[in-house]
Amino acid sequence: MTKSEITLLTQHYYRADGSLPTSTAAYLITPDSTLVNDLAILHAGATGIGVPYRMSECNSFYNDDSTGVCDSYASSLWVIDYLFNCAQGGSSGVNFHGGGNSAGYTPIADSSGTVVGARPEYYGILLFTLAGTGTLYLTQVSAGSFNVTAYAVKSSSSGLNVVIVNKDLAQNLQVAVSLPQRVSTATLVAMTQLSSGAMAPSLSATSGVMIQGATVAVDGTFTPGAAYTLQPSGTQVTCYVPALSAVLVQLT
Amino acid sequence: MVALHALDRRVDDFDRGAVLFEDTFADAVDGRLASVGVADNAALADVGATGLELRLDENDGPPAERAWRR
Repeated sequence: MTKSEITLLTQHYYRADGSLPTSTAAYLITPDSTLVNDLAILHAGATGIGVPYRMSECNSFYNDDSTGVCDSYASSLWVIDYLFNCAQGGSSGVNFHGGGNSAGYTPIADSSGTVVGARPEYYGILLFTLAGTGTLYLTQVSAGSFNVTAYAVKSSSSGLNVVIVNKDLAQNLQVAVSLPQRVSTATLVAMTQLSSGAMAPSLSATSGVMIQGATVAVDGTFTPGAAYTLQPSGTQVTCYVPALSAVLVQLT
Repeated sequence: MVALHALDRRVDDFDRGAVLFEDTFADAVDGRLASVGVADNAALADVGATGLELRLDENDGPPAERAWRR
């Protein structure tokens, strides 16, 4: 095969073998430096021969047949970081593997081809899409030892969308966001999880995930509540990011 | 560029009837201080215009990774 015959470089990705005792919901949301390094290698390799690269099959833990891990709220949080890592790494796209209605990963559960529900992972993908299209900007997070990530997408209309993911199990955060431009309006949409009767989110919960108080219907419809309004000051805006949540801050 | 195609998300206007986030959460949330700085430059200077397309492969079969290890 010659270089000119190659049109796309592809790679598969899974976080880990789900049958290992270490493959827990808590482990899923830990940073994956291997992914970042692998994406850099793929990007360099693809660029070297002038083709794009794509994560053509991927998801969280393969070999996971248990409930409360790949089908849990952990996957909602994990997939946001995964997608932004792929975008920052220059990937042209991702293909999520899934299907069926058993335990384990799938963004959309189906039974014999009929959709029966949006799984927690879908909500993370949805929040990622709500960040919109545009140019990714560099971010710097200062949150001590807390497991927090942030991403910024600048749209063609100069609006800025910032996604902050707080994966700490208990620590709520008050985050001061410093921006490269003055801000006149700021709103916030939050992805959260709360099971019936619970007082706090649960990483292993397999339901109760919402974006701005809304769930996704079986037919795909999604009607989130009104976004919260933040009060920006110059080039800064402050927002709360509760433990085990992700927020999308939309700035103009 | 982050170009997305896979989802018909049917998002309504988030701003309609918006309330102040602080009013809703300030009393309930004991937040430790953290900061996020957004730099005034793109993260993908060497990539240029690109896109991230999302697709779902719903085949209800084992992943290739599992098949390889069997």
